[in-house]
Amino acid sequence: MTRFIIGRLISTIPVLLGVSLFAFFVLRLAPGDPVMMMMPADSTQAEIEELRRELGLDQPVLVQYFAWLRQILAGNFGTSLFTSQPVLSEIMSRFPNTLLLAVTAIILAIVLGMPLGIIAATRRGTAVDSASMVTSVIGWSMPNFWLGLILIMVFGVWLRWLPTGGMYDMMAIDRTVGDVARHLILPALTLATAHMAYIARFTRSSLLEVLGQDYVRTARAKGLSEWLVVMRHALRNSLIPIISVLGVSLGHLLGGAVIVEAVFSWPGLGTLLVQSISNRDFPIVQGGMLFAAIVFIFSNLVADLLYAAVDPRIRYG
Amino acid sequence: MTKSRTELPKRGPSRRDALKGGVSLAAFSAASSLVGLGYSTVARAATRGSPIVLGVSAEANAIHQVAAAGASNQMLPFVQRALLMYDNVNASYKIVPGLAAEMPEILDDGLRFRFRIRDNAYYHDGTKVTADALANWIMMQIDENHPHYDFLNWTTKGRMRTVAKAVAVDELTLDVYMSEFNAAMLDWFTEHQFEGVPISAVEAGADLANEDYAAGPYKVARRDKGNSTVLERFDDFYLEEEGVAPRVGFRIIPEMNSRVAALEAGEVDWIDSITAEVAQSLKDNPNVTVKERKTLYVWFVSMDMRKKPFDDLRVRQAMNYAVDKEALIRDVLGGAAQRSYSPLSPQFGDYYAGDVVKKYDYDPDKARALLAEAGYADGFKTTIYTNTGRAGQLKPLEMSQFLQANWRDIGVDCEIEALEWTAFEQRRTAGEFAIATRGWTPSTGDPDGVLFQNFHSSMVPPTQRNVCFLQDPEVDRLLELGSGTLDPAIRPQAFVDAQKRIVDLAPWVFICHEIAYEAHNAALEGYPAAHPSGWGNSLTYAWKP
Repeated sequence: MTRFIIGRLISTIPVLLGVSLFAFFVLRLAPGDPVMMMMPADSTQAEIEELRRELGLDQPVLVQYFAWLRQILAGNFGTSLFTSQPVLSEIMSRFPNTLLLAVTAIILAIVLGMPLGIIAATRRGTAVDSASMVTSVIGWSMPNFWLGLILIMVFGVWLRWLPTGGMYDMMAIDRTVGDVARHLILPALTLATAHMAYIARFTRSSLLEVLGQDYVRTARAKGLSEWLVVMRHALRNSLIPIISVLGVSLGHLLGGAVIVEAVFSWPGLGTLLVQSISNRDFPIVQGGMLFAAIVFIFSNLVADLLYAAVDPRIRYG
Repeated sequence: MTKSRTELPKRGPSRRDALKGGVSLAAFSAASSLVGLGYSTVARAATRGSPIVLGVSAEANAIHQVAAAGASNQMLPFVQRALLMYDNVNASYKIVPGLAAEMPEILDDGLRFRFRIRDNAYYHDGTKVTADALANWIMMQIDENHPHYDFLNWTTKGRMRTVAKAVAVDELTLDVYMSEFNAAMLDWFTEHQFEGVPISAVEAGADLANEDYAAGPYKVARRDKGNSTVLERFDDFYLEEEGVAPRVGFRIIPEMNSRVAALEAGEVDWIDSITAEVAQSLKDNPNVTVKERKTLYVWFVSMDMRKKPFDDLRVRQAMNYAVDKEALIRDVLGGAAQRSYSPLSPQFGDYYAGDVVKKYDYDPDKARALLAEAGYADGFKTTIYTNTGRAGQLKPLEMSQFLQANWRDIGVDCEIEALEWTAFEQRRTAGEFAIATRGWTPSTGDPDGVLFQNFHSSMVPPTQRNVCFLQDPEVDRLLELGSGTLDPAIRPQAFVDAQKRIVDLAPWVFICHEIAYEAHNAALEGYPAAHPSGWGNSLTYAWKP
């Protein structure tokens, strides 16, 4: 197992190098100049060139890339062009918020999606199956900015049960877990909806495949109740592919749930990256992409390890 | 009366309480992301009402604007004060004293400004504002041998280029010397490069992005990046009447619909950057007041006078006559603009020339006749360059399509090429386009920022912004006359005359000046008018019962 983990970690090096190359050059190949974004419209060309020199953006691109790589190897992700703050501290100030939102959304998606999939699979061909799958198709198809705005209008503006956005009541002196939880409900639900639908469909197809296996027929032949057959014998095996789906989903969400974060003004990594891309704040975008890649790789590694925990047939190393 | 900390109202209906304790998962992350929970216990006796919350589209990159790059922000007038400032109370671009007790004496033919600093101005750390602190601050930015020249990566050098030195004559007298005459200097004294910070903070290596050493009516109490900033009234601010609300919150809500929802839900008291359509729909809400903000902004089409067929005055005039500006404003912008007659909007006051310049009222027949006269009876083909959109550019694509249709009516077959903003601006300022759209907001209320840069012959690309390559000795003479004096008997007339000549030569198709909208809680008091700059300003007088 240890050898497997070490091997996987070593294999991430070329991936991260690729990501660093991509992150660095794609931004510079794209049209746009951060200095133009930073200066007022009536700045003179001399002022613009002066700032470009000060930021080191007048250097050849390759020189800039290797300078950046050297910094990264020394554990320094650089400094934001716009805020002059260390990139890592900018990212880490947002990441816990994204983590909270993503993990909550995934838990909601599992809690709602798996039972829906199980019900659909065990009632295959019935109206319940059709209803479950129609629900999941609707959930999967709804654009989450639209769903988010509808939830805001209903629960925030009309009923006033829940806040329309933000992460906490900013004017309150003391912040409580309950306050954060209230602010979390709508964005987490919005984010969870599509994943819930995906998990429901995946659970259904995976469970249907397992329910056709011989050992399930054996379990039924033993006279076990259908509940026990599904929950004890079939479900555990059908979970294996779902774990990999969850690993990928969580990886995506941790990279920043961009649209949902924007609609609910959730102060996460996604909004930081979008703002930085439009500002051409190179160091933040590069650092953010590298960070998202690391998180993605790590969440997939965890999913692989969970495989082994769930399925005794799989052993690493 | 000031509310004590325990009396602060709980916002939100009580039903929310029923949801308390919901997702226990919140605990592990909340602990790491919630910081700086304490407020100062200092309170000022004259505060009124309850805290107000502003829903803003963008965050201040730093507490002190000088420590970050990018656009100005709504928080600035609450927190910072410079030597001079624009008139908050009357929401105008009139320049009035800020940290200075009075307007400066202009000496040595405009090469020296003598400021008397207020005797009762303090920075937020309690240090008195002195001429020494201001002189030190100015010299730090311009003198490479100053011991604190490396204190910041100064982005202010352009604005400081005509400042030769600053000297503290005594505790409260400051002389600022110019290396050359600069007529826009009074406007530049309103900017953050002239706020100063305590010398002790500079010597201690203060982090101006995150630490508050400003001298405005509010000071930063809590800042959660990406989410919100809370200000509390500064007790030692020099004006008793400014800074009425006990606390002011800035909630960052980038998405417009979410800002509107937060206002309608009563979570915020004021929002910025809403479209004309949204402003119209909010007018039906009795709990909301919509404010119109007429701006200095101008949206135009520049024509490169070196390139055929735009080298012919009759063609340029025809392009102007062919456009139905009123219909464009009504149909494309929902009425959110004033028609433009000249480069300067009516908000420029004495410098406005809309009443006296030649008017290009919509007249397609006249346009066709002018084209025929110029030898283009069958029209011609061209390409208009525009951008895919950015804050401050209105609706460039839709407006270009409207222009395309108008010009088609006179035989001009115009293709539209829309580029991403920075690529567009790079190529535009390199002088690559025969015709291109652009929205322009001058960063100060001085007309020089629009006229000189866009129309003086020394300002042509690749280094400057005169992309129409207007090179007219008479325009140059008038712009130099206006830019070379602060004499109110000469300056406004020179700029008005320059505009008359510019409009006659028609290097632009003059389209419109933006009207921006903001909305606020109808219960908000002390906020009669929105400042044309859009940067909050007189909101510092607002309060909520």
